[in-house]
Amino acid sequence: MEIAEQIREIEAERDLARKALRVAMLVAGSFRAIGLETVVVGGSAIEFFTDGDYMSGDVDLCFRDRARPELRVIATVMERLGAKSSSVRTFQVAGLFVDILGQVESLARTEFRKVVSADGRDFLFIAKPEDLLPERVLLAVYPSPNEEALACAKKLAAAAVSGRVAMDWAEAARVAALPEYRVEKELTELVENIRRETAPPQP
Amino acid sequence: MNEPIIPMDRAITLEDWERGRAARKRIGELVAPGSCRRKQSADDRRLRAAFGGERAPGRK
Repeated sequence: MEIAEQIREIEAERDLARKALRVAMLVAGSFRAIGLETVVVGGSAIEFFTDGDYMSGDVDLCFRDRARPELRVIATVMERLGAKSSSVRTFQVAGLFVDILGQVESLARTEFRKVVSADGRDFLFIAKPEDLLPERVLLAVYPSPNEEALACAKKLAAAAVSGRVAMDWAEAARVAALPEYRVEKELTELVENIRRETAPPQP
Repeated sequence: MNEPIIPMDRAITLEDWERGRAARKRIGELVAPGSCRRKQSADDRRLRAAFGGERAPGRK
């Protein structure tokens, strides 16, 4: 399918999570064509795992294996998609903002998650839940209690506790205990609470 | 549980991701009802300017 046709289809998409995923897949494919892999991070990644009505009207993409390339390289790739430039790092594609950021930050030793199109030709990497959960737990408690971040952490933890999102719990705990986060206790408590809240009723 | 899970060590197809959405949303609603979207962020200005005063375009 021609890029212009894909853009038209995505513009018509009303479901925000699906629209964001399709925009990200299109942009990721364009960077892949010049040898660069990207990863969806931030709210769109959380939305991918939770369907928690979290994301806003932007998609954050980081580079998987290297720092952000020269701005003119980014601008050339985005121009091919017909993207409108809002700043040196922000573009509008099919009705959403796309932020092209630097190299992805990941402390987890697990793999980035991967979603593929039906024909297997297009794919997209998504941030690891083992990074996302400790990060949201930290935001829920630091620098001050944050109810939105806590709700987000709960939804993500629940999706994983229920087995609907595969999570390496040992790795999530290891990341949570690192000096960058230091929220191992908070993560453990949150997960224990979620297990209790989602446990089937006892006969 | 019949819905596809989002796996760790292999890819998920868009179709399977779609098939699991309702179940993931349902379990999230159980522990944290409602939207967990931030009410404001550093990107507020551009988002609200583009989306009629909201932080995202209309939902389905």
